[in-house]
Amino acid sequence: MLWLASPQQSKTKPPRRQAEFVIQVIEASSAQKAPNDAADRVPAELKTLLRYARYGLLDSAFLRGSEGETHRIALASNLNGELEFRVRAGQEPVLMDVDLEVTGPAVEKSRGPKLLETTAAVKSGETVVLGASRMRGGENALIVLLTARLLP
Amino acid sequence: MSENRLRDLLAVLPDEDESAARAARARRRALARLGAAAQPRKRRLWAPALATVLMALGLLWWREAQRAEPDLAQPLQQERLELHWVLSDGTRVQWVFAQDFSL
Repeated sequence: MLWLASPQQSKTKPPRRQAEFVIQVIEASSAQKAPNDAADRVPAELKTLLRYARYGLLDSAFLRGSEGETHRIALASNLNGELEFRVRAGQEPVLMDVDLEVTGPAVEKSRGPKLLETTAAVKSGETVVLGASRMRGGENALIVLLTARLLP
Repeated sequence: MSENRLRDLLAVLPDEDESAARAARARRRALARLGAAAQPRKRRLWAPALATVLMALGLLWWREAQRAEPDLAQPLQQERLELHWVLSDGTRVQWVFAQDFSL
């Protein structure tokens, strides 16, 4: 029975898709002396909406993984990221729901504070801008440029 | 001085009541003129002060509008807010505002 059930199961469950992600982590800052090497990567229109003066690249990472799995990645010197994606079935163009979480430095073996936690619906090849900042005021913000590409 | 001469002189001068009435009229006219003169001066001081205040308010408003940190998103008493918007080139932006965000 088990032997017979196995091929049926593989028919009902589509194979897990693979995708590649480029994650650029940028710190936006109001400080005049902060690095500004990522200013060109942030869309100009977005910068006009933000009040930050400088945009520094904290890290740039490449990730390849399978659908439905949680992928962990160390970002910058002390940040951690978790990414998981699912492909929406029967949609054209193909859309991926990408869950991304970026946490700050771990404090005494416990997880660091959540800096960014969001789910973005991304088309293959598209770059979305994910940002996080303090509700009121705040001198800096975290910007993640996420580019996703679904592998054939 | 003869008595007739003195009487002539006294006849030319106004009597005491008439002098007081003239003085009172003159005082009223002077006060009225003073009031009229003071009125425009007050207005002259008041108008630039109002203009300055309005300009200051306008400048403050303009500065706030320029800052426009997705101040779109300065919600009141909320712990977390996520905004989605699309830039003119089609780039999608998702921004999370959190009370406890600290980088």
